[in-house]
This record gives sequence, structure tokens and C-alpha cells, in this order.
Amino acid sequence: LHAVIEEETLKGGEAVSLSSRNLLRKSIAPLVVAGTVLASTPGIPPVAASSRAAVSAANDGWPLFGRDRNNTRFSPLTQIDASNVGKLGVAWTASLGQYQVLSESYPQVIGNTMYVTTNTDEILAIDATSGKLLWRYASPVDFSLSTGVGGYGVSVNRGVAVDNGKVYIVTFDGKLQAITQDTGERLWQSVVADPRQGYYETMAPTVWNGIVFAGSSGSQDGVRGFVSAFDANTGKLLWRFYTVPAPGNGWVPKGRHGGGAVYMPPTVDTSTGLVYVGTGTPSPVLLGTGRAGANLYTDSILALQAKTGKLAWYYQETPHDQWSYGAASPSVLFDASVNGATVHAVGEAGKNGNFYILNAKTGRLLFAPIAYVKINHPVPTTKGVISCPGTVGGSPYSPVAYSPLTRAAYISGIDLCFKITVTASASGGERDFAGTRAPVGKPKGTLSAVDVNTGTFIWKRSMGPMIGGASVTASHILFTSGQDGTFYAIDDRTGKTLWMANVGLATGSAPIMYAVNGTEYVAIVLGGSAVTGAQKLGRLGATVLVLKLGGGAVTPLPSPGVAAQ
Amino acid sequence: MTTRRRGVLLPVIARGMLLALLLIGGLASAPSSMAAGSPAAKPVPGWPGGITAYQGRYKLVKSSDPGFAKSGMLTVFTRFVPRQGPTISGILALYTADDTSVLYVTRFSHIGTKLSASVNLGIYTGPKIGILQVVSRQGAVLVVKFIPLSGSTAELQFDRFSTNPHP
Repeated sequence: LHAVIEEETLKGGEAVSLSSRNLLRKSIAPLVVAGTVLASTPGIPPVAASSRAAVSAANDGWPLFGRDRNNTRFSPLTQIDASNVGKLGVAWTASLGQYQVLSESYPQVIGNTMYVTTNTDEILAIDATSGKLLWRYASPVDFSLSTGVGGYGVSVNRGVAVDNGKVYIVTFDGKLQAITQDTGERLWQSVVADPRQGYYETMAPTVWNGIVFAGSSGSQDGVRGFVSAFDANTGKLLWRFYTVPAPGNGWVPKGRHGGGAVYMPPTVDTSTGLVYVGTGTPSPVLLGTGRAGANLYTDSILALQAKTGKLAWYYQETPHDQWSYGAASPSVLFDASVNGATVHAVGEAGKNGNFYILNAKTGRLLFAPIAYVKINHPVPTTKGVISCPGTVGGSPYSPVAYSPLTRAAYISGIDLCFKITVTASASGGERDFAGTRAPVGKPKGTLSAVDVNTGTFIWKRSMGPMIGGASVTASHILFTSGQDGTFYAIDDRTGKTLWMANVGLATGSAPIMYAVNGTEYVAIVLGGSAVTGAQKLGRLGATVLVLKLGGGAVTPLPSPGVAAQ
Repeated sequence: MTTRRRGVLLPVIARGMLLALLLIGGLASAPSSMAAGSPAAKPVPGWPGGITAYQGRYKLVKSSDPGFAKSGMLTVFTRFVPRQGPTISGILALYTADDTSVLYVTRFSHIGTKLSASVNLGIYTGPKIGILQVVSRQGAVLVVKFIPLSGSTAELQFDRFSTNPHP
């Protein structure tokens, strides 16, 4: 075949010699230079003196999904504080690719390098100070596998795990891959799940002590949920824990699969050797008949022995779920002071709209569930009921942040009810979703600070729908971003906005903070989540935005293409 | 296949570029028969012959522009769309030396023998970036043109290796 030039009219009669991809790259190349100029703008204020438990801004990364093993999304950095946050500006921006839209990637920074994924399972290693691409890794992932789940399996990727010179990624088609950290070359690949059975991958893996933990998505697509552990050096399967019984056993009828998928990275508790895993909804989703009982271990927090996969305890948030809830949000660990005693605790924001605080060693509930959005859970009928929150959940997957300074957990919520109607069997495109759902009313959201010592709200404010989560600093700033393209710096003690800016694009993940050579940066991957796209909550894209004090003017980032009607 | 690339990361698209995309898009999205000035024929939803004539998995065997795609996969299948029901849809995965793109093909329609579909980013309802036009279809061989809202057209030849869209 030869290049087709008959569409010259597309360019006003000008002959087109570049491919569409190359043309666009060439057209936008000068912006990189602009970004570099912005990054070198002088006038960065000196590191703020602080009497808090501050960490020098010389070098401080974000080496794990939630920065630390407790998954707190807390940064000890203090250079950016309430007195100067208004001077935040653009250090650099970077597109994830011409044809990239949506991003649920949670970036990480190790040394001077940022690792971020695209929704097509590429890994980008980027200079964290300039935005310069160091290497880009891609592998031929079979995305047509999403047709097996009715086409709802829109690909997203929530990030990598980095440890001991290796970068780990799980791909949409069910592979765990290990890549060299320095050069982006593949070392090995293992099979996590068979996508022909309805499995697909969205999660970032967790790596700890030579073990990589990974589960799989697909509760609504006819899968049997599990979490697996792999040897971090070889990819060999070490153990697998199924979250529901095998078909024909226990409460799972023959011919059914049970659900209970694992959507987000497990959290390892280095003090106990336990790994906490959140599990998804039982299936058939919405249809409760035919799966009697509580449907263990769906909608649960599981505490497993990290080395063996043996169950230590479980806590089920929604027994016999008929609303498409689950414990998708990753667990966060902290120490609570309850009745004068220090209790090591685990927190989890359920899709059902409740935040749970449990004793991390026993799974016992420390406080009554804390409703962070409006809750109404009527039993679904064939005529339809209004379920609050809806099937996207109060927290579809957004991680919770925690500050040891305020002793508060920060929860991002979607306050949106759905009309759900149950059917006798799977009625839509998904293999095991027995019903229909549609949002009711205007999408709203909440941002809440919960005192982990009392299980009560410190503050709670109305927002637009919040997807992706938040992160906090030792200078008492909570950073987050909304679906309407507003980026927020909020006082984590009061909930009051300190500074905000229109960044143009919705978000599907949470910010990170890091410092290199004395400069603190705030980074977020913008572009919106799959929920953003499906519910039309905001403008889509796929761009890394990095801010610093004294950076360039913050202006709305553009969205590619033409918005669908 | 493992690929690496060193160099400058692609920056964001400028506002001016977006405006150009919008302006050009108005032309590109019009079927060629209509652009020629013929009476405005209304596109008929779907492709003639029904889904079974097209559904399945296709492998990219030729590309007019290796920079656009060196290898790829097209899957045509039935997707359930709320309030519309079963709808012919497609997933187009394209691989170059350093990029993986997944494009969502929707709004299949035809005017006479001219078949086209919308190509969207990220999700079926995501931003439209171009159209697919069928050039020819003979047996298992499907030749299409991808006409982006900006940039040059790429012609792609696919071979259908399975009539079952599900792996």
C-alpha cells in the first residue's frame, strides 16, 4: 500500500508528507522548550524554616504507590506551605501520548526519575525536574480481550511498583512484567490471569521483601476473584488466595464464578507481616437470588500472611451485596489512640459510602462505620430503586490519605445516586451484571477529614464528584483535583481552600509531592478516569502536570480531539 | 517486543492546535459523497449485511505509514449500549516502535456503499479524533482508511483470522 494523499483537502490542499502522528508531534514540539524555560525560571523561594517534623527538601521521593508502606500519601516536605502556596506555577508538563486519553496512573518518583504509566500499559521514565523522557516501554498487549467482557473493559492502568532495580507492571491482558529500572528493558513476564475467562488488569502491583502481589479486575464479568504472590526475581507464582469458593462449592452455584475481584494494590504491614487486600462485589452483580448468605469474602478487607497467603482475619463491609459495592479503595494504616491505648489500625473507604477503621491485628471494628456520602441501600427490584451511592460507589477506587500530624484520614467521595434495576440474568454487555443502572441527579462529591482517634468528622465539605484521591504534606496542605479541572490546595486542619487553579482536565488519580535538589514539586496526572468518561464528568486528556514555587502561569490544559456528542 | 526511546517527551497540545483540529474536523467528518456536493444523503446506522458479515478479529498486515502503525489488531463485535441495545463496535489497537494506541470505533454508518465509523479516544464516548472509511472488503481482507481530524490519512489492510470476536 502507498500513502493515501487524496485527503489533501484536510490540510487545505497542502500536500501531507508526514504521518498523522509525526505531524502532531512536530507541531507541538516547541512547547517542550517552553516547559524547559518555565522549569528554569529563577526566583524560587528558599526552603521554609519549620519547627514541624520537617524533612529537608534536598531530595525526597515518592517511592511507593502511597509513598510509604502504610500507604498514607503523606509527604514530610514543607517547602510549600500556606504562606506561599499561591506562588505555585508550572514547572513542566508532559503529554502521555498523542492518542492517550484518560489516566488513572499513580506516578512514583525514585531519585530524579518519575515513573508513570499510560492506559495502554506503557511505562514512561521521566526526568522529574525537567519532564524530559528518559525511556518509554511498550509491549504488545492484546486489548481486544475487553470484547470478552462486553466492551466495558476500557483499559486503564494505575501504575507500577519499583524495587531493587526493577519496575513491575500488570498489563490489561493479565501479564505481570518486570522491567529494568535504568533502561526499560523487559526481564521476565508471568501470567496473572487468563483474560479469556473475563479477567482484566487495572491495578498497580505491590512489591515487598522479594514478593510481588497482584490481583485482577472483573467481578461483573464472570470471574473468580483472587490475589496472588510472585517471586520478585523470577516471576514464579508463590501462592494464590481465592476470595470466593470455586464454582459448585459453598455459596457459588455451579456455572457461576462468584466475583470478589481485587482492583487496587494490597497494603503490606511490615510490623505484622500481614498484607491487606480489598475485594470486590459478588456476582451476579445486583442479583442476590441464587447466592444465599453473606457471600464471603466479597466486599471485604482481608488480612493475609504475606509470605504464605494464609488468612489471618477478614471484615466484610457489605454482606450479600446487591448494589455493586466492594472494598476497592486500598487500605491505609495508622496508629489510633482509643480510650487511652494506641491501636494499630487499618482504614478503608468502601464503595458503599462508609469509611471503616479496624484493629489491624484482629479486624475488629473500632468505631461505627462513618458515612462520608449520602447512603440509601434499598433491595433492588425489577421495577428499580434508588441506590445511594450508585454503582460507581462513594469511592470507586480512590485511596485515602492520612496525616500523622492531624491524626486525620482524608476521604474523597462521589455523592451520586443511581437507579438500579435487577434482571433475572445478565442483561447488558457484561457477563455477570444482572441489571441496569443510571445516575440520578447532578453528580456531587465530598471531601472529608475523619479523626482516627474518635471516628468522627473533623471537617467535611461539599465538592464536585471526587475521583482519584488526595495527598497531604507536613505543612498541612492537602492537594487534590476535581472532575471540573480545578486543582486544590486545602488546609488539612480546617478544610478551607488555600489556593486553587483551573488546570483544564479532570483527574483520575491523586497528586504526589517530591523534592529534587532543594526544590519541592507537586505532580498530578490529569485526564480523567473511566468513570469520568462514562458519566461525562469532565474534560478528558492524559498529561502530567508538575508544579513548583515560582513556576510559570497555570493555564487550562487542552483536551485532544473533538468531544463526543 | 520491548521498545525504548530516549529524547524529549511529547508536550501537551496547544490551544491553537486544538482549534485547527476542530476546524479540520468539520471537513474530515463529512462522508466523501456528501463533500462532493451531492444531495445530502443521510447516513444509515450500521454497516450493510449485519454484524456477522464483519464481526471477528483482524490482524493488521499492511500499513501505508509504518510511523502510524507497524502492527495492530482490529476487533469488530457487538457491544451493548444503554438505551440503544446491541451495537456494532470496534477496538483498534495500533503498535509502533514506541507507542501503543487503543482507539474505540463506534457510530458505524453507511451511505450506499460507502461505509464509515467514528474513531474515539479512551472510551467509546471519548473525544473523536477521526473516521474509518472502508476502501474495500473481499473475503477476509478488509482495507480501510483512517482519516484523522488532523494529519495525513493512513491506509490499513486487515486480514480477518477469526469470525469470533472473543478470544
